[in-house]
Amino acid sequence: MLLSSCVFHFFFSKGERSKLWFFFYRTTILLIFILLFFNRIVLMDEIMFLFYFLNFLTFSFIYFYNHFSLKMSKEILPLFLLLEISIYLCLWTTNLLLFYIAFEITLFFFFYLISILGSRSRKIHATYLLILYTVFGSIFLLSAMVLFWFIYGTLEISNLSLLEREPFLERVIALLLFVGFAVKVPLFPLHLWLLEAHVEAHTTTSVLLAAMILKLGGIGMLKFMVPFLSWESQMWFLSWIVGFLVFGLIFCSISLIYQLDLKRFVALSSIIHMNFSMISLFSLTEEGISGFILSMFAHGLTAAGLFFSIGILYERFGSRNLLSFGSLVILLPRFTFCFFIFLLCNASFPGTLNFLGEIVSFFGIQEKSFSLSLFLLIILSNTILMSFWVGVKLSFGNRLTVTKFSDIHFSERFILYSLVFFNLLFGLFLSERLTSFISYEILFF
Amino acid sequence: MKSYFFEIESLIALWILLSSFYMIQREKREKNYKVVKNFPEWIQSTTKLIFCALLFLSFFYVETIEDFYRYLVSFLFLISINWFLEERSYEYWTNILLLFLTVLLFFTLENLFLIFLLLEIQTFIIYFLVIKKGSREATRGAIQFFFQNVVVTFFFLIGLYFCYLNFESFSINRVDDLFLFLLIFFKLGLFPFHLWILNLLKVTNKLLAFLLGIYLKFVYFFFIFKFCFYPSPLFLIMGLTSLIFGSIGGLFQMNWILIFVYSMIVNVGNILMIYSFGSFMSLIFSIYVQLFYLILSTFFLLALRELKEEVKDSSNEYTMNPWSGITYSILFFSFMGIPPFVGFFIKIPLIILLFSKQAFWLLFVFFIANLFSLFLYLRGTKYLIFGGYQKSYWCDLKFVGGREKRERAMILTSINGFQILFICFMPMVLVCIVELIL
Repeated sequence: MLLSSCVFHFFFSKGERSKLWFFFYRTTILLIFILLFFNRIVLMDEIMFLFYFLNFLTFSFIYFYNHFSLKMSKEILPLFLLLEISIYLCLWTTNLLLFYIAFEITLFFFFYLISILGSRSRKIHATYLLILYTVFGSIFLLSAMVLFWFIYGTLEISNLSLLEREPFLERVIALLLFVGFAVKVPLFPLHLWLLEAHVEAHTTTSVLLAAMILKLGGIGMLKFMVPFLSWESQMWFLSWIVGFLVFGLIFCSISLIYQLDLKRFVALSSIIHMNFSMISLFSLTEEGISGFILSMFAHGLTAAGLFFSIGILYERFGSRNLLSFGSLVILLPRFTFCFFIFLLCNASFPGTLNFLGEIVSFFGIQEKSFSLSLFLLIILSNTILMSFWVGVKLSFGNRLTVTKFSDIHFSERFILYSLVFFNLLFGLFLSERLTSFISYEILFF
Repeated sequence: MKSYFFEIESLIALWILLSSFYMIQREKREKNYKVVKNFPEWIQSTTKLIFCALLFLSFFYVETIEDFYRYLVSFLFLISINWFLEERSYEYWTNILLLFLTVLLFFTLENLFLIFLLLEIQTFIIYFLVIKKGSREATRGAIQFFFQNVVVTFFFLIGLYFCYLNFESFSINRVDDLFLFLLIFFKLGLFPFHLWILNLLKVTNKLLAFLLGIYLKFVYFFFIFKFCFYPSPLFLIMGLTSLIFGSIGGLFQMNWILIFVYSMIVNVGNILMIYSFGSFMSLIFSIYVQLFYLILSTFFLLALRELKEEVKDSSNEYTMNPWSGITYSILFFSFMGIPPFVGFFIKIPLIILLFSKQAFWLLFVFFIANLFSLFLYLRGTKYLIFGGYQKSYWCDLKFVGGREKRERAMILTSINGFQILFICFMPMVLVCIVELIL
């Protein structure tokens, strides 16, 4: 359906007809989602449902933003559509080869999105880093895949419970998979490409990176690595991987303090949140994994909102430097309201979905190690403080010399309000329902 | 019935005779025996028609690998005269037909001495086609090629002599003499025998680049399959060195055709490494990789028809025409070996084979060599996409006017179309093949 509409849209439709066609197929997908959600006709596993929904939501907002902001959606749209399809494929498949191919094709689309929509000459450097890091991870992933196939004769992860596994090879494959996925998450020290890519990319590309692409690494680990590890391997793996992740968290938290570029700031806080989610995942407790899924989903909504907000600021002021803003509450009151709420979400303020995700993660981590959970709390407090500081600096800091700027218009308002709405809706009203229907047992098929 | 369809050599010979006869008649008609420079277009179109008919009929009778190769070279010949034939002189035409005839005869012969003679005829034809260009560089390149070929042929003859001493015959099933291999390595253009192909391709046209870089390679691959298909460390070493030096050597090139040659060296090294395992699985994989190599390299040459000679001069490609800029960069992404493009499926069989033999060090070297070649193609992509980044907007998606532009659009679309086509079903084919073998 998606593919055919993409082809139709690009090659055959013109003018109004193309808009109608596009509207028709987005509405159809929305109806399918509503049907699946309320009638529980779950053709896919329930964990992935959240990410399907997140993908749909993110791309809908991007199309909406493109339509009003870029004024050239007809040319850019095929890239976004194909990217959307490949992400759906990643979420849907349980075959490692198919996942690998869908996972890697995102690189190609991102290369074009950054190179076409990026405006500065430094985008060349960003694309170089993107390709080199991704290919580096790809080698590990490919090796893991080939080894997996040689040992077990299948690439279908759902057959895994039927197979006999050897501990040593299991650990080798898990390690290769970990490095392969760690590039996309990204984990320290493989995170440098993300900072450059975020800074050089257009708003929509940044939103996509933060909201969906970072999640693919986590989803890969959740789908293909966690069910694969036996109890002994889990113990062996946890002993050093958590230490590694904690080191990354400390490093990124310190880097966060001296960031002046708003995009870099959000990118680094994204890395911190993803690292934290990974620790939660590798606690391998029921609460930990539930917390991981909720944190990922919440981060998708929050990061999308933050990057949209920064894009809006950049369009108006032509700058992303933190020091060049202040008193936005007077100039852009509606915008400041939304942006402040996103920063609160980023700081995991109670009542938001992020808070729910992090608190469940903490429950999971403290089951394994109470001292580690306390230590993580101290590290994360830095992110919370920095988020508040940025919020206060932007909203109430020194007044700018310019006096008049238009506040957010209809499309921007729609996007920001919707993201705030969904975050608060899930955080306040659906938290109980979400935690009940995510179960650790689903992971083991 | 089958034999009639497959004995197209006689038909080709007949066709050469007829076209030569026509040429003589026409020359006679022209008073004073004036030399007729160009052949009429109907000869070319009739040849295409005959080939299409033959290919269509013989498709149903492909049973052995020999048939497959014969079918493949016929198909490639059709491609060469359809896409790459630019110079329409009689000498060119007759020589290309003769070359095709020698290639077809190659598949039927089992006598090494006769094969040697055919290879020499091919050398002479190539020499003639290059030297006909008339420039000083072309003449120098052709003479260098000829002399280097003479040296290697000398070794081949020594090898033949030893063979005859041992078996008292030239009709042998298995070649394992180092002297005999040298000629094949030379013809394949493997490192360190690659200099002649660099010199020749720099000065010749795209037709000869196609013939030397792609078309004739299949003949030598068939030779290896027929006479030397067994586990061989020599092939492994030659393949690996070609892979490494091809990847590193390519980094210093700023000319598209030289980049093509180095990518060819890397890919041929890759195929030779697959051959070196000598198992049934490696045979299937090698054919599979050869087909992908054919697709990829042909598209590269097609792209070279459009691009300027130097990499730096192509920096405006994306600004001038975003569609072609993106198409070429897809091609380079494919060469980088990024899934799901064709290039990925060239690399994966060797990885599978190396894993199966637990040759992890070789695998490591293979990955490093690939990283080097990745830089090469990344640089090409950089020049294509970012060369004129100040003006890059998605505004010029229409091809403006003229037959030439339409043809260009068709070529670009076909490059994209094939790549996207192979995205869809090739992973499945790979999995099916491997599962069938196991």
